[in-house]
Amino acid sequence: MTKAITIMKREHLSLNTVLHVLNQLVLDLESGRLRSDDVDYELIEKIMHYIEEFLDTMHHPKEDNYLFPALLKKTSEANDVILELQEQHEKGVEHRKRLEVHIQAMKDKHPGQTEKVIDALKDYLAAHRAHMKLEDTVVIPLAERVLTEEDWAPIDAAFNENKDPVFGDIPQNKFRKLLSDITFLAPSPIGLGGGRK
Amino acid sequence: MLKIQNLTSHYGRIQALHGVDLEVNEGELVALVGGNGAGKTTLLRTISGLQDASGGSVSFEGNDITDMVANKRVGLDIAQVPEGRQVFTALSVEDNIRLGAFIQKDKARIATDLEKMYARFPILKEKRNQAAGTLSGGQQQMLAMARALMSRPRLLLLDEPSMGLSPVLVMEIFAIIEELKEQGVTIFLVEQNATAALRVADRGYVMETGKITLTGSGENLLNDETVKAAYLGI
Repeated sequence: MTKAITIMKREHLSLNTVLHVLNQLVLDLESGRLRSDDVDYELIEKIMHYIEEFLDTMHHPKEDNYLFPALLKKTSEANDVILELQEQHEKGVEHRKRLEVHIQAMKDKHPGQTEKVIDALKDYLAAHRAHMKLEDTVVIPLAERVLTEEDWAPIDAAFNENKDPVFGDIPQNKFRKLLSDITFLAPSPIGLGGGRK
Repeated sequence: MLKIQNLTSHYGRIQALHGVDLEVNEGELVALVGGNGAGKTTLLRTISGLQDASGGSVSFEGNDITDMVANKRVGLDIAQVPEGRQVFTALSVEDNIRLGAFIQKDKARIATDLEKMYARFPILKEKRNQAAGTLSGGQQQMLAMARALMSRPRLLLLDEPSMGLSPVLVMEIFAIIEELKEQGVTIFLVEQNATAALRVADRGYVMETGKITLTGSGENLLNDETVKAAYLGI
């Protein structure tokens, strides 16, 4: 496994871990264990901030600038899947905007927003999971098959610059702090239960 | 710093450790991975003096401590976070933390260290007057770590710190372990979560049926086909 693939998979693991917290909020809201009045908006905002910022500044630029161009140069097999990833990306922006609108409406206590937030959260989670699944099951195997050691060298170097939010070597980075805040705020037993009671 | 040579240990007639050789150098984070019943916890208990060695030796900074009782080893700046947290459930969170400094007589130092623990583990400050038994598993793990750190250990022994915790709490625990390493604490980490443990470790050992079967850098072990197949599920 190349360095870039190891890092990509590790980053997917970190993202999935944060999505897991969001998923628990959906389950709690849906089952009524969590009332809309008790929703911890700070927690949701931090989770979304983490996901979006991490993807925009760390994950996607390396794929868009290094991995995908190398794949497109090497094989036409990559055309469809990269186009699909780009479409997913655009849809993901729409999902995020819709979620933000409904969260704000729920915050402002507009009626009927809980169900809309649940649906928007589900779409947001599903979109991120589908995106990672496509990369894990199609893009990475394709890259492993067609790219040579020479092709991988600049991709590995680019990904190697990424500092993993948890296992990286810059302890004070903002993602590390955000993750720590998310863990503190998330309700037990998922997190430490230090958030809104 | 810690040197284990040809160590054996028995539970009655059952031999649990079969000539274990292992070394932890100052400032290192060394992981011991292996399945259930491999002898990992027995080894840790023998290092901390909670289990008798039947042969071989354990030395700390060049001094043989094989026969030294457990509480004297705390005086050598060795602390253990036991498997299953083992907090004192009826005592308050704060009393549990203070117990970690039971050999310390300097009250000002205890107060300073207590504040440091509350700064590092804010959830414990929130819950400081609650009985420890009312805490969740993740909160208890933070408490067990804070209690161990109160003795300002130079060698920290961690037994399955991520056991039974949610993915985000596992990430937090490993991030704390990394921070402690950066602060200069030498760490011997026993874990079933081999991927996470070997990722943060400088070096690792693989244990099976009371014997060390493989050793190497964390990265090399992560890439070792035997380790991948047996412990990483890939």
